[in-house]
Amino acid sequence: MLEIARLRFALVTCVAASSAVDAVLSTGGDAAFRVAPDEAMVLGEAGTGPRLAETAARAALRVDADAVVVDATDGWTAWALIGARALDAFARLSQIQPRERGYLQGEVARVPARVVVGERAVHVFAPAMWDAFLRQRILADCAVLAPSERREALVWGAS
Amino acid sequence: MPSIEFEGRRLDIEDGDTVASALFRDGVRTFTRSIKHHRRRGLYCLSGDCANCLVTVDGVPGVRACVTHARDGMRVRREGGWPTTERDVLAVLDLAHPLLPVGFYYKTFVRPRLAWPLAERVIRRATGVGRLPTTAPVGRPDARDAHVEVVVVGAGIAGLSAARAAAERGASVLIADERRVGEVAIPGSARERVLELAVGLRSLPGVQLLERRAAIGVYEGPVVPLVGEGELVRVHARRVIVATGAVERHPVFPGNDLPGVFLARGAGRLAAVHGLRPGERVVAAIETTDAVEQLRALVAIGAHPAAVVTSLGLPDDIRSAAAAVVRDGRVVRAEGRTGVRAVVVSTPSGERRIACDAVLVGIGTVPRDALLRMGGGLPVIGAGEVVEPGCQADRAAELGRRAGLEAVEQDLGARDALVEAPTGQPDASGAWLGPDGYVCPCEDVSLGDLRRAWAEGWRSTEILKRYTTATMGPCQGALCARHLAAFAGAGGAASGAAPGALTTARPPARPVALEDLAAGVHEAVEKRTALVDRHVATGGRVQRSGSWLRPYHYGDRWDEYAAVRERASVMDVGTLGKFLIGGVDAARLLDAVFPSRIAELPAGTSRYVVALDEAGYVKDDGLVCSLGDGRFYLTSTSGGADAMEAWLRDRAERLELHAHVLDQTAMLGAINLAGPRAREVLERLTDDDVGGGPLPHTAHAEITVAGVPCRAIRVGFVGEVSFELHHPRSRGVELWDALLEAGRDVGIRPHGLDALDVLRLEKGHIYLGQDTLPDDHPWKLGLGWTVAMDKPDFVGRAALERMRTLPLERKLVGLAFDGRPQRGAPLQADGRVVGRVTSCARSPVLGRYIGLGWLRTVEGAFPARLRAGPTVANVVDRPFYDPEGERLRA
Repeated sequence: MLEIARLRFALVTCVAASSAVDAVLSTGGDAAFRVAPDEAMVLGEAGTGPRLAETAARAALRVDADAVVVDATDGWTAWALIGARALDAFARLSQIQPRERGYLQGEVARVPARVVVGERAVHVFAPAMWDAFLRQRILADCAVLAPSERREALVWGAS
Repeated sequence: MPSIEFEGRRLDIEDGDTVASALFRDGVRTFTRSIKHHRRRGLYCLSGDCANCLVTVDGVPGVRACVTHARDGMRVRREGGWPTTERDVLAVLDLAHPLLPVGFYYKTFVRPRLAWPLAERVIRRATGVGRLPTTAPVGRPDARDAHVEVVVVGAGIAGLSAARAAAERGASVLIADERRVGEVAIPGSARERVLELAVGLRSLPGVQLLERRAAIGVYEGPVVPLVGEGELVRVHARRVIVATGAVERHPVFPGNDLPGVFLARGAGRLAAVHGLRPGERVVAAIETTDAVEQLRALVAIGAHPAAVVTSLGLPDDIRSAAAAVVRDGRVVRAEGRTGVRAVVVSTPSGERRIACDAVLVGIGTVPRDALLRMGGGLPVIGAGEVVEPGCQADRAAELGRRAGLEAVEQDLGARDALVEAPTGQPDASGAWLGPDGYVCPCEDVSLGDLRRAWAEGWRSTEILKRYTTATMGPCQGALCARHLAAFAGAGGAASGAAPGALTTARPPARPVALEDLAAGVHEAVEKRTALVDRHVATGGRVQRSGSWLRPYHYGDRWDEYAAVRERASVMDVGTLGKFLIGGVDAARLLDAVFPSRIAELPAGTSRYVVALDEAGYVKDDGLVCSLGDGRFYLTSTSGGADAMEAWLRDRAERLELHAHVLDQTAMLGAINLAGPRAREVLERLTDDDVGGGPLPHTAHAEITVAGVPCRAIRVGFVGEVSFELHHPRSRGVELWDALLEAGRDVGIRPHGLDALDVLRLEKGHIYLGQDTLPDDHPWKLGLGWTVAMDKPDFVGRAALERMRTLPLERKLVGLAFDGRPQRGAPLQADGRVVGRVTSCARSPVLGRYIGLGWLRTVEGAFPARLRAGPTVANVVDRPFYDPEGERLRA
């Protein structure tokens, strides 16, 4: 069974010196990921972007006074692949080798994406301009798995 | 009873039937016509290797009948031949063989020059294998990726043993075969062993067994694409084991392609799997124990061989079933017109003619090693017959087990050592049974053709291949590659040429449909701003512009134009690249990159910049806004955003600058509010002062518009008062609606790219790419004012330093036309082409056609009066509209 759902979340981006990124990762726990040597991404529940950004900025600025930390939620879209066939679906969307859990990045559905594999879902984050395209590709490329689309958005942290 | 439709009639099919077996049971012996000479071709290998049984199934041409399962309702027809395959008028070409020697198309129809195009059409119609469908719906195979430690291609005894050995040591294994497991094995102990291995393998964790998926190549990664069952599976593996077995040696003798001549395993399969005798009077020429087993399968269903030609000691059951045994004989030719009627066997005591209607030839095997040879330099291991052709089942199992262990136990550092040396050194022993015959049945290349080509000077395997097209047919050399290599090797030895080697193995190793190659690729990637739905809802004609969906117009492009020039208008410019640059070295980074002065830019102001490459050529442009506190906001063209980010990051790293670049393109939307009444509209929605005093042209400020936080930038591409409102993407619709509502009474309306094209042209602004060439430096474009050559360094400076001393030989100019020009039209001066029109349009406000165009010097000067087709073009100053910029700065 495969379900797809739009994901509601907050996303903070921190661009800073590598040591400052380390500091942000240490405050972000399981929901903070290094996406480049000088960049971190922190995820949180929808609506918490400003608070997350503030926390991340505090941590980053202690180490790098020039760190750039922004609530970048608006710049991202995310879809969750849910169910026993989630990894099968992912294999139809990307050449990235999936893991049981954890963070990946690369091309998904032909767009640059960040992927968080959770216990019950695969979360695919992509720049917001690809929102419609990403949904369309998931439905088309995974058609053989007969995906159903949830009406309600999924909340980050619930999956 | 299930049935297929064969050329208009119904044919019952039996359980386990392939298309080939169903047709053969019905009495079909000619399955197709050969590609050039239209010779009859019948079942031969029954293993999917040769092209003798290609048919059209349900409108799809080139389907291998011998490996395609017959399904109820299938529509099958033969290919080749006119008007029918059975009664083919074009078979006369076989008689004309001496007139159409190999390579004739390189030498004939050369003069007059029109001859070849005409001849080519005729030749193409008379040759080929099937017709591509023009109306059948295109299939959409599924595409997916699989990641395993070991992928095994071929699920025979060797492949299954390899998979098992690897899986038992905990490796994740994917094993694939183009047939069902055990399908090709003769019923009996061999098949049982295969099925037993498969059952055991399926019970192991981490094993995937994919049947009816053909591996079409081995690519770097390694990646092995599998095609079949309506999907393309790209298998990413640490190790590849190739266990594709062997193909029987293709015997070459006159008449070797007649219907009724079978390879031993093919005939054995026909008998053992389908219960069909290849003929009533069978002559078997066999030299291997495996071929004896195949003959035994025929005997088991009641066949009595008319003769067995062999040097082997035959088992009693075979000897007693055979009418005659010919010792130490060789088949030297097969005779017949529509099929085999007799074979001539040479023996120590002379030639002997034996009447028959089928010939079974089993003279050994050669490895089916195309995939193995493609894997050179990659961690690819051979197993079973592919490395030891003709090996028995126990040996194949052992070789498979070893390969499985090797795949798991070798570390990556030893990857080169894993690659089995190609087994391709040709071995012609026993293969050359006669003085002539078809070496490459797919391409109708005979031994005589090869001799002729050799005599003409084509003296190596690769050039023989190219000249004769041998090995280039559907079987990709499975039958003939070693013959070709052996021929070149033997000839080379005589002439001193290099010894023959196999031709390069390249994908696809198996026939593949174009739709399979395109699996998973259904559409172009498409970016959207948050406002696309709004554009569509308001009648916008939205189409791709680069990778973005953008509105070209909203139904009345001239009123959209008028709204900008006379009233107020909005445009979605969210596609612009947008970057935040921070860090103590942010200004140094921008100064090091762009030729303009950035460090001196006061907070709250902005500057137009061009981006140059190291050669000093313009590659992008944009706007830098100084935000204060050492931060900057940069916009770039819509298409240049990705490159700009990479470029800035790269420069920061190279120069070891402490500067951070954050791409905000997706995060922020942007709406350009423009027109003489734009400020009036904006003032209705904001409490901030947006007057010309606090917010003059090129200034920017953080303001709130209709409750939406915006960065308002006083710039514009259209030549009127403009406010670019950069805002959070999620608030875009809200802001757009508010602006349109606030401007309703002044006649506000959105404008699209069509109106913008005229508006920007009136201001003389260029479109990068459309109006520029790859080697344009700023002075050629009239953008010299953007370059501060007194800056110590910036990208492209050294090149500009040299170029500025050279006279300008080409530049972009403004043009005024007395008629309607065409974009792209050549510009002529005194009958000489001196440039071309890059942009043109009728300017409503000027009442004439204007444009931009390239112009080069004539005798040291730029001509001022030109012709662009029927119209006269005069070089004029830019901008055409509001040259002083009063309206822009209002």
